Amino acid sequence: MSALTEGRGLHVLAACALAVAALGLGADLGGEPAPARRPRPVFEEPGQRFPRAPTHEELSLRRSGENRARHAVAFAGLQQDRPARTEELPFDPVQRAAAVRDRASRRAYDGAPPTIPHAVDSLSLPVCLTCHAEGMRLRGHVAPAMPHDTRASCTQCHVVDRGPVPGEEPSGGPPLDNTFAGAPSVGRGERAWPGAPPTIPHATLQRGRCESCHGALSAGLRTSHPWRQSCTQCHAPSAALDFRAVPGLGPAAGEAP
Amino acid sequence: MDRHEFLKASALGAATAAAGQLAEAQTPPPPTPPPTPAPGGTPTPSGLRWDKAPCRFCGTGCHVQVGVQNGRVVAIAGDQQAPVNRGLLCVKGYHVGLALYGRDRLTRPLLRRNGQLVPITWAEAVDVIARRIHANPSQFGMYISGQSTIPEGFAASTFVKAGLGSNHLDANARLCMASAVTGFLSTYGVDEPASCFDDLDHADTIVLWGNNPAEMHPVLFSRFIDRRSRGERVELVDIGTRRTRTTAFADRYLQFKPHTDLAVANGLLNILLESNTWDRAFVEAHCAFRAPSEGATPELNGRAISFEDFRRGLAEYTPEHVERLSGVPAADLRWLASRFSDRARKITSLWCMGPNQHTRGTAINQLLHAVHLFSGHWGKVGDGPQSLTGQPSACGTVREVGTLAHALPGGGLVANAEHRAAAEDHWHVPRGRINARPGYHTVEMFRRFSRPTDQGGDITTLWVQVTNPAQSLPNVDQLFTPSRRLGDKFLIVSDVYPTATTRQADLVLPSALWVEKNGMTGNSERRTQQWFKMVDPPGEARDDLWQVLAVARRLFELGHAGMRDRDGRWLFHQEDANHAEVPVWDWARYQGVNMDERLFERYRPFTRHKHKDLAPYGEYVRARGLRWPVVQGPDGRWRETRYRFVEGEDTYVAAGRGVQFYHSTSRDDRAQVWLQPYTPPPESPDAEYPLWLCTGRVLEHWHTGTMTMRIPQLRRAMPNAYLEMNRQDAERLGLRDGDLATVESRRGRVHLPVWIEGRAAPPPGTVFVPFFDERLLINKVTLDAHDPFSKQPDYKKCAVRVRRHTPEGGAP
Repeated sequence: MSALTEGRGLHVLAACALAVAALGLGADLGGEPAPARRPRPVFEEPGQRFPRAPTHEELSLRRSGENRARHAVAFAGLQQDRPARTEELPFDPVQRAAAVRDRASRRAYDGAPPTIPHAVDSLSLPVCLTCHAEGMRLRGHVAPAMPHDTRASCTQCHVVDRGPVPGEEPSGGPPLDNTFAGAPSVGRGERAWPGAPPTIPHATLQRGRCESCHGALSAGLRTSHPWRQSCTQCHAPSAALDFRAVPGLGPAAGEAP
Repeated sequence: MDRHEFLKASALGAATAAAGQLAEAQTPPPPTPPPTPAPGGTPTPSGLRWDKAPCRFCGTGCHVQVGVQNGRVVAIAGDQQAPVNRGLLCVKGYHVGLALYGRDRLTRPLLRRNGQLVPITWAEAVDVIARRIHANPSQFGMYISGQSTIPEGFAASTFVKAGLGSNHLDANARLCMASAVTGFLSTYGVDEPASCFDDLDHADTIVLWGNNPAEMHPVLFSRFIDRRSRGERVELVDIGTRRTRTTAFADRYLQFKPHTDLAVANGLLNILLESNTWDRAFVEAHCAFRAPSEGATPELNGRAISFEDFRRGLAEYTPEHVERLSGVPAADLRWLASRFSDRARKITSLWCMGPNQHTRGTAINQLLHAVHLFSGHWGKVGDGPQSLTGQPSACGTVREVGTLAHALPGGGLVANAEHRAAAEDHWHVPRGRINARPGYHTVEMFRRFSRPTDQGGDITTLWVQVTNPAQSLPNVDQLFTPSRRLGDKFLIVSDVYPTATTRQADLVLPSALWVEKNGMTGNSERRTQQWFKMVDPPGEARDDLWQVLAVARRLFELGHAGMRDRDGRWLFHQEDANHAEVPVWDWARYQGVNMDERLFERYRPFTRHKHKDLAPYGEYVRARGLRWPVVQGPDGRWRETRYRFVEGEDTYVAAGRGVQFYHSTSRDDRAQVWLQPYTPPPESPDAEYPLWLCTGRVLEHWHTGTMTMRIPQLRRAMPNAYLEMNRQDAERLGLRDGDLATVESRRGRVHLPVWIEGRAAPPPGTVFVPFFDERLLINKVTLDAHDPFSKQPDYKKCAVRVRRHTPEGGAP
């Protein structure tokens, strides 16, 4: 199975979990911070027990039959919901400022892996690709496409923003008062003259897929010309940001061939 | 000395091939007089300077690039050219720079007076320590760490073994990989994995033994699991006691009852033997058989047995018997054996704390090697056993420098007269200086420290560096806490933040952390790594290495004879180019000298003893780590070694031998295939304490959480410890998510919120608690029983009971 078809397989298989989770996810993303995780309901009364509702994980294990087909269709619908690439997109400075703020709020420094603004399932195979393979819009929120090659263990680098541990965090413990000030984004790319295409103002390692942040789905940072596909034709990566030279440290010096 | 000065020195030193390469690769030697050296790295237009360092956290040894601006770390990037991680890090690694900047860094020495820790000067602190030691050197113990750098470990070893003539030096790695050491020693005659991480790029099948690398070694996990994304077939077999994030990726999950991994391994050996699918050619050429000795005192190297003895010993481990013992279905065991029977398949086994934190840790380590040796899955790329470590320099410092109670640098033993004599020569100290009696191992050291002095508690002063025993020792209320009530016991702790240990200390020393000092570490694949200081430590915090030098100097001034070498000079005597003494005990002068380089060069001759040769310091400056033995070729180049004991890879293997175990304990170039019967664990669940307790780590936090709990992204993702339970057990006990439950063993209790099948899913009858949270000390509950050879305790299994917590402590 090629990487691509394996990825697609995952989308379909995970569609069920997605559909079930979508409402809760949308609610989680907006407005006031929700409690870390609501306890799972257990219907228990003296002398009587009702069957327990299935968990998301259990549902995702039961994806079969008619439901599976329905979820696949629902999922395909979500995937279709995106602006056409032929549309010229107006630049909105307010949206851009909000997007830059939002971007910085999820990163310890420019270049750090962003945290995840929703709950994830710890125990089953990551279903992140369901939404983040191609990116999609869910109830006004955008799940950006992964900007890097497919990696299997998403939670290695991306952790949830608010812990999933149920119950109250005990008081005390090490103070959470860190004075680290991360390197901010360098801002806009340089232009050689007014009207010249700007250089890329961030490192491109693991950020090779421009559409992830600059595509039609994203507000604020999106390109004005989504029909152009070869971004680096005009926008050069910044050598200063991409090439972090350490003096005296050659490529694989002194190592066995 | 920083990078610029170092490069200048090395360029002027000799026109070696390597130096030539260096000049060609990057920077020409600076002109004379040199410009004022920059604090390290190359400035970029954005004002950031980048430099290299290995990550501060686990034993994987990823190389990170550290971005520094205005004297502070402001960014981290994975090093794309680093062979270990190839540009990738884990969430801890990406946030490692934040570990320096918790607001409550320790910045002044603190002495307990009238119950309060009050600030004192460094001179006072050094004097207090030196006088305590001088008054009673034989009752002084030093407890350091797998996070101590190689030069720090070598300085501590020099100070205690060559200086004080004592062997009461041990390290926290005793708690995490001592059984891996005894497993390697008794199998190959020399410590540390013969293979390397390259296996992960080539194995067809990866077998995990009680291992959860998706959380604990995430970069290594991605190194093999991402091969699937590239269309490769990587088969993953998880042999464990609970379902983890790793299990989600596994093709097969073999769940065994705690402690019965010995039965599973014996079952595999038995099937290979009975089906005659073992590798007869490999075993006849390169292996011998071994079993435990029969005398009253067990010997690590046991006794030689015949193949027939081996067969008879294994006979009872039929698949059906193993299924009864372990719960692993006989069919699954046969399937796994068929994998090992397939000579063409490349199989890599990985393990870490599961087999190591085990009261039969040495035995299960021996058996994992035995499975690979007996099936011939050994010594080929992608095909061999690989033991992982959890600390950045458990290998480089604790195992190689040998900061353990029985060891000498480079793999020597204090009990061996020849090893002592050689070490005394290297150290240039008088004959007879090194004590022949091993010191106290970790558990014993703390038992003695916590026992009244007149009742055999003959450790009265203990200096702890870079570790947090008040949280990480097992059965902590017995091993640690009692000492705090004994007036004559004095605890010195060097650390970077207030911890469970510093809060109970008599003297606290503020230390520099990671890139606030020079350092060298050694990872799990024999890779020695180097970095330069990049930023200043906060306040009066100073290097752990300097602290040892300063105390050694004060003892010298007080007239301690052991602080003199053969010529009567100070043990750590340093000279400048004009042979004038450099007072490195003076912090201001210390900072002008690269003591890492000087001590490393003193240490290097020791490493030849067991063919663990290290290259000159400069080679490590120019590399992203080198795997020992690093041997200089006829062309002058220093070459690392990927596979030990394998011809064509390891220069110490004689031509034509193919594989040669040249440190064999049977002195015939053979590795030992061990027969180790299964025996029941020291404590099992019973009617009173009906559940198994397993403890361990989580992705977001590193060990006792002193660094990671102060990093917002990690703390928010995993704010506190919890009691992980199976749903059936929780329902039976009437517990729901978030309920507070009491976990209680025969030793202690702790109250924890319940998380049903949270981060991982234990089977019915088993609960799990992570140990990172100092507020919820699970080590009040754990067992201090340990392996008879390695003295490593078992944190993975003890019997507990769980009930709903009631604030008054009464019955619910």
